[in-house]
Amino acid sequence: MPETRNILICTDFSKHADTAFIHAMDQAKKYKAKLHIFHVIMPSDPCRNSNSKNSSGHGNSNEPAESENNVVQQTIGALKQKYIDRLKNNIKEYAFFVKIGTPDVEIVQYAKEKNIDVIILGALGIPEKDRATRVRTAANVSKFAPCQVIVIQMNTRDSFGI
Amino acid sequence: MGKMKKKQSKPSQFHDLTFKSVLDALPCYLTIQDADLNILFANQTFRNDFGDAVGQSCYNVFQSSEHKCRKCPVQKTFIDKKVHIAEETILLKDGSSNEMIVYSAPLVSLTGNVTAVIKMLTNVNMIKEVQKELVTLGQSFAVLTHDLKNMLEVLEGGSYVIEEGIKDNDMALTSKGWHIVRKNIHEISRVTQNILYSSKKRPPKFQKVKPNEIARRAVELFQEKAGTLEIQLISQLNPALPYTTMDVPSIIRMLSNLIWNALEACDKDKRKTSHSVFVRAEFYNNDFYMFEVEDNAHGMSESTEANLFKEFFSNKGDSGTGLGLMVVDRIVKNHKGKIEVLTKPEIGSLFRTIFKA
Repeated sequence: MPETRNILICTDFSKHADTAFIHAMDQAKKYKAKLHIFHVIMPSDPCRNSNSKNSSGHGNSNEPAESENNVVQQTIGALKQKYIDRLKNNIKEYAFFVKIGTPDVEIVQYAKEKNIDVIILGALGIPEKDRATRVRTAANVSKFAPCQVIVIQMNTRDSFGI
Repeated sequence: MGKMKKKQSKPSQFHDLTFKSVLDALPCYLTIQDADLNILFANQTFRNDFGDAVGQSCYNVFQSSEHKCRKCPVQKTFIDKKVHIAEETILLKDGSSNEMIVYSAPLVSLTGNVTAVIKMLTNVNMIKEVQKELVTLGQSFAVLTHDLKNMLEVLEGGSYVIEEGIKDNDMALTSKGWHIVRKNIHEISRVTQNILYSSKKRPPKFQKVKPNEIARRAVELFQEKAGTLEIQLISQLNPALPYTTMDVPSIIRMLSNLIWNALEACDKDKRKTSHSVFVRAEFYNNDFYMFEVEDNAHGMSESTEANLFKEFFSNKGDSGTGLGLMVVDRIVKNHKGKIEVLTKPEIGSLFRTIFKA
């Protein structure tokens, strides 16, 4: 089995992502790997903000507008606030990344660029009615990522009182 | 009398104009340079884009270089006192690269010496674009003629099989021949429609329609082909998608090209025993919707993925013109949409087009 040096945990701040985060921490500790904590913000206008390399000609990698940069910085702040305490004492090397785009495309792209060995993400994320997109993120990342993908399903016994 | 008055009013209309203000108003960059190529004068159009560069060297301002250009028309004019024309690529402050036609003309003193040279630069980006289109047109003729020739040869082969079948009263053979002919008629029809779409610029005729209805119509066109190829063609269309405005024939063409590519990719992939093509119409978010066409064929390599939307790029060898995705790209642009692609070798590909609801 190839060495695991870079682990990517994708979070949408949901309970599913929290469960996935615990598994990602375990894996990072076990392999002494760098943990990349990654969040994707859906663009207000996906057709304007074409920073994916796969987009067609009109999608020239536009630099995000200043307001978008602010949102990115704020979200990095939110990620740190949520996860940094747990990381500090457990993980030697970690980094926070936020991108604007379609989650599945951005996650796969990031995994390619950073030579990620394992992607860990929640099966469902936030409930569908509150979700910003109907893109099948977990399914598409599982299918198209260039590395191993672990999709974490939450233990629903607690919530259903089983 | 009236005419006389008009003639008299002309000089008074322009008497405020100075020679410099005329030069400033020219829609091109105009500089006057000395023998060391230092800028002695620059018009307003130049100053707007390069700032006050008087005193600086021409090559420093236009090329950000410390050295004189090898084929400098200004230097030639200083030597032979003649007008010279050249093409230069100029970098503007905003980083954009601009193709320029450069004219250099001598300013000669009473003693007959060239004291300075006028350098005038006209932006020809638009002309270059037209040139590029003409090159593309030439390429398209070559590629398409070659592909149509291939298809016609297969048609001839099919018609021969039919003739043999009829001659021998062999229905199975006749049917086989007819299958070949029909497949190629479809292919020629598809290529012709794509040529028509890409060769004439027609303004899209937007009408209100439900995206899932359009996807359903596109899928219907391919059910028979999918059945013949033993590929599952599965629609996942969200009926809750609201009415939106789109150019219906264009979107059907876009989906047709994507579905066709997916079916062809599945047909070529001999490593798997079963193939599926999914066509989806779904919300992207509250304000945008998307179409997805996903296959489980052989996927694409990184180099293929990088070249996908280049004109006449095809990875189908003789059976592909590369026109299909070019047309998809154009349709998405016309609808101010976006294309996203996910692909993995040996796994499959997903093409997603996103539009404003």
